[in-house]
Amino acid sequence: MDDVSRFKPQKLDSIKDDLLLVQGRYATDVAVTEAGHAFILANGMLTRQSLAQPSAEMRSEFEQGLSCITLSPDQSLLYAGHSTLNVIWSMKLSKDGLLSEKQPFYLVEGDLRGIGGVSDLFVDTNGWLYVATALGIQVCDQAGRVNFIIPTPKPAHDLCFGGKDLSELFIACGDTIYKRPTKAKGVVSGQQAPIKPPAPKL
Amino acid sequence: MVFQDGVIYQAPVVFDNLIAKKDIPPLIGLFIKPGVVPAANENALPRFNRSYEYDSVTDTYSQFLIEEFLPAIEAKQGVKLSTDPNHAAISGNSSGGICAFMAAWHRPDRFHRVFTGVGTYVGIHGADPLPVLVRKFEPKPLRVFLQSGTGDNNLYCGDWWMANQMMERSLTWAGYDVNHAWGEGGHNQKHASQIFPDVLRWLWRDWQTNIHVKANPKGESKWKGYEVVGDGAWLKVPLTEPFSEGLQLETDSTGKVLLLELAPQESPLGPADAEAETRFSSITPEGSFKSGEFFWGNWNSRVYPVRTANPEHGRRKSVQTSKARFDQR
Repeated sequence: MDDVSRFKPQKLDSIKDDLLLVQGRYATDVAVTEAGHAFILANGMLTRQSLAQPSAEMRSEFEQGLSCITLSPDQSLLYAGHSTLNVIWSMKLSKDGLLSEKQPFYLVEGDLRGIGGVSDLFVDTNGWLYVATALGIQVCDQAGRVNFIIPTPKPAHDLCFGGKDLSELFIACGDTIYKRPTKAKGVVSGQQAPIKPPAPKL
Repeated sequence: MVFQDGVIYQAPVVFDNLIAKKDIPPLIGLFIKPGVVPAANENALPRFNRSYEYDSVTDTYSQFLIEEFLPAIEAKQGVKLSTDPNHAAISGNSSGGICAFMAAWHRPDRFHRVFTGVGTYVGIHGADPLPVLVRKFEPKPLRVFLQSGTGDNNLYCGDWWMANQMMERSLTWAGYDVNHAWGEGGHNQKHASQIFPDVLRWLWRDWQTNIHVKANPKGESKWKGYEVVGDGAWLKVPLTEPFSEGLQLETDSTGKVLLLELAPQESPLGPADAEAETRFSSITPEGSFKSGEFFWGNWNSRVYPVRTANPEHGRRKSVQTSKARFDQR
């Protein structure tokens, strides 16, 4: 593709059916439920919009400083990581898209230099939360406890499950992508019906 | 083999004897002292950097050692040090011990064998969480010998005797090749010096037949991650096009991974904050890379793979964030 055609503007209609465009400044993450609630992270703040009623006014749900969001596999909890704290909040999500019961439910291990922050979040069908941090991928159980840490070649700023059966863990480190096979299966909430995970061992 | 705090454990004599007996392979001993920032004037105190360098759990010292010090020694002495981690060991006493352990922890690509005497695994520069991190982190290919005892330090920052036992129990739990010697001596080099020849024999056992130190050699690790990621490794995904730093990953329910890259600055069509280009490439579920398609939108627009089953919003393809709310830089 040469430079001229590359820079030719395209219309929204050319976007494929399975892509959602989030327009606006500093939109950094989005989580969409099967019920059609889109949670959008922009400028470190969390807002909500209904896909069914796009004219509805947006609501600010959270303070600034957030870095990433994702949903639990049953789409009943919204998780939000912070850009400088080793904390991930968990919020209960009602059918009408309201959030409640906000708690700093996950406490991940800090970088050994004392620098905190969570780069990205992803869940698997067991309800385990995969947290990209400078220390590695920290994996938390449903009860909010870091059970193990998978070191990464370099600090990962993004992660997702992909590949066959959504069972490969992909990470982005700078300009490089790595993947690793797992026995887990990732969940893409915006495209899947809610999945109820098993209860944690307490 | 690298030692902190200069010559300890009468290592040169022990080396000569054990190398002659072929109990250990021919080794080069490197004996390093910690740094001191000279005093600014006669009435000023030098800054003693031993605790800063040794008690730290960051990778600063290992970077200095491997990227700066070892190459400088090679250049000065005209030697070539092996870069095979199976050929290298590291040791230290007290703060030098935690330093040696952390160098191997951060750089198992360069050190596989560790001996620490009365190791300072306590809360001076953040080493007290180590026994927990050893259990949470994927096991590394390290062979570790720990020495401490009932008379070791018990100070404001922790209990050395308890901390060393916690490290030994954590390393054992996580399946490391670990050994220990607990005595009744104090916080000094006496016990470690006495056992040093035996420690070296243990660290280098089977060196003539099997030089490799592996992670979880007996398969007895209880690391929880084995239930999820097994004993595999990260594989670099081959990308046929270069990407900029900070590319974004998204996935869809088929397992296709989208690589999203925003390139607003080089737009020939207008100022950077007017329009932006998003390139989205993909990795198919079978693992092959598909070259990028391009999409134009507002500055910092993001495209997300979302396919909702509900027909009421199935045709909805875009949402707009509130400009007023987010316009602040």
